[in-house]
Amino acid sequence: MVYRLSFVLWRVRIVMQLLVTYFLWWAIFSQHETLFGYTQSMMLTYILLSAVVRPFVMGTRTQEVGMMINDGSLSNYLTRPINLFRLFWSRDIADKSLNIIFAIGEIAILILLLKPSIILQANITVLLFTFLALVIGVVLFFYFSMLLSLLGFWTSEIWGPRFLSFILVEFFGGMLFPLDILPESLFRVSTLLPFSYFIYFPLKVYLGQLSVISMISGLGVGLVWALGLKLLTELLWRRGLMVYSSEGK
Amino acid sequence: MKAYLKIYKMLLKINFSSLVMYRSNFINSTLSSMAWAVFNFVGIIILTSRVSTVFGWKREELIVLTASFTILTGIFHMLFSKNFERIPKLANSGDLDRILLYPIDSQFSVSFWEIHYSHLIRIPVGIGILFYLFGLLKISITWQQIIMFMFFLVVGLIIQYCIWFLATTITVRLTRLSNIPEVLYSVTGIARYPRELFRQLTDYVFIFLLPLTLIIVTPVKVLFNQLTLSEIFLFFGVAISFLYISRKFWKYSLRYYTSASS
Repeated sequence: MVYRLSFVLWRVRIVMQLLVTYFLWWAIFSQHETLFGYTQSMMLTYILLSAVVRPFVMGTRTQEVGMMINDGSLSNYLTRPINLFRLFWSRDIADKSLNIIFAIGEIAILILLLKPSIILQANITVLLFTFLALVIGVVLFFYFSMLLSLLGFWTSEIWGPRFLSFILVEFFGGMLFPLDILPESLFRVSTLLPFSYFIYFPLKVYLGQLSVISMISGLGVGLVWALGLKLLTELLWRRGLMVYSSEGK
Repeated sequence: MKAYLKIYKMLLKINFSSLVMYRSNFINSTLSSMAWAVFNFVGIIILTSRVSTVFGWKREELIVLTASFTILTGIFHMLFSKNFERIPKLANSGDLDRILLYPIDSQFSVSFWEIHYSHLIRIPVGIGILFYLFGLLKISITWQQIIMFMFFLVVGLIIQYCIWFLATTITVRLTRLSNIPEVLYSVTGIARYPRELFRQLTDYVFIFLLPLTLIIVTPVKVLFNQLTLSEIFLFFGVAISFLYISRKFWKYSLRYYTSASS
């Protein structure tokens, strides 16, 4: 809150990006009742809720780990009796909480102003599966981001892979549009990657467009990805500590 | 003028040497830049795959808009954006003192010092898409239209430069607003969409966004012979006004720069 104006600017940026996507889809659906298997209300619900899901799943401070490794400040944490992964989990939860509060507030204001026809899910089973999908998304993204940061043990140029991954996540994560509107081949590629579990899968579950079997199998695949990334991250962490030389300190 | 051109030539050489020294950095940046350009196109192609028009713009016109945006952002990010990211850091750390002591214009120093060659890749990607699209649709473009398009693109570049410069100059006084360049990256991204999209917002917001909506839309309208005289006057009027205001604002802000015990 010390940098209040900075924070306000950041929120303005997020709202502007959301509004552009919202009006683009609103314009596209003004000529069609259904498109790509979605109605206007389904698509606008997807776009508006992605603005809430995104900070929840992808709000993270783990990108700082890479910088800590490169400037040697990781040593300060290694000498303390704390688990770095648990520390960053705590920081992430705090970061997510703040972002969620503001995101919900912004979406509520936009809904009041724009009055879109949105879908309010009332099915308890669907809501439960949505929650589970979100939790898997959170875990998956945490380890994915941590993995990118741990590259800092072997290279000082960590921002390059991170920036490239950001582009891939932006596209294959379903932030701009639901992935099933992509051509079949591209959609198949996206389902093989873990990114679809960040935004697309939880929202697809929420919209009630998946059968129970599809939801369960989706959660299963997401869980496998999360476990796989967790194991890979822990392996890289152990290997990385062996080569860590605390440069910069 | 000659002296400044000589200095700029030297800066181009120095930045190129830096590129050669950090080759993997350059390759990473180029790949990222190209990926952004390609995904912008893929996004707009997918969004318009089932509709004939969006806000009165045909699909091919929207793709031309995206291609032109790609060219302009390639030039802008190559020449200016790193410098604008630097301004808040200079003001915050007090290193702006050193810049102000140089025997050259301070606006030139802060605006042109760094050149990011990796964004050059966006220019041929954008031009390639334009040529491919016009060839595919058998749209004939005259040389005069191409020259006018390039000229209007340069004026659009000037408007974008002035917007960024005005916004980042604020950090000279309000040093805590260090995230302004990051906000600008997103905000100027709206320039690739038709102006009519922003008419949905209230007039107050639309007026605020109007300069951004002129940057790409006006040059593209040249290619489709859709530009009106009033739009031309508005375009040049905005460019000249913003050039004047940004210069004055920079000079005004420097009067309140207090350094940071450098």
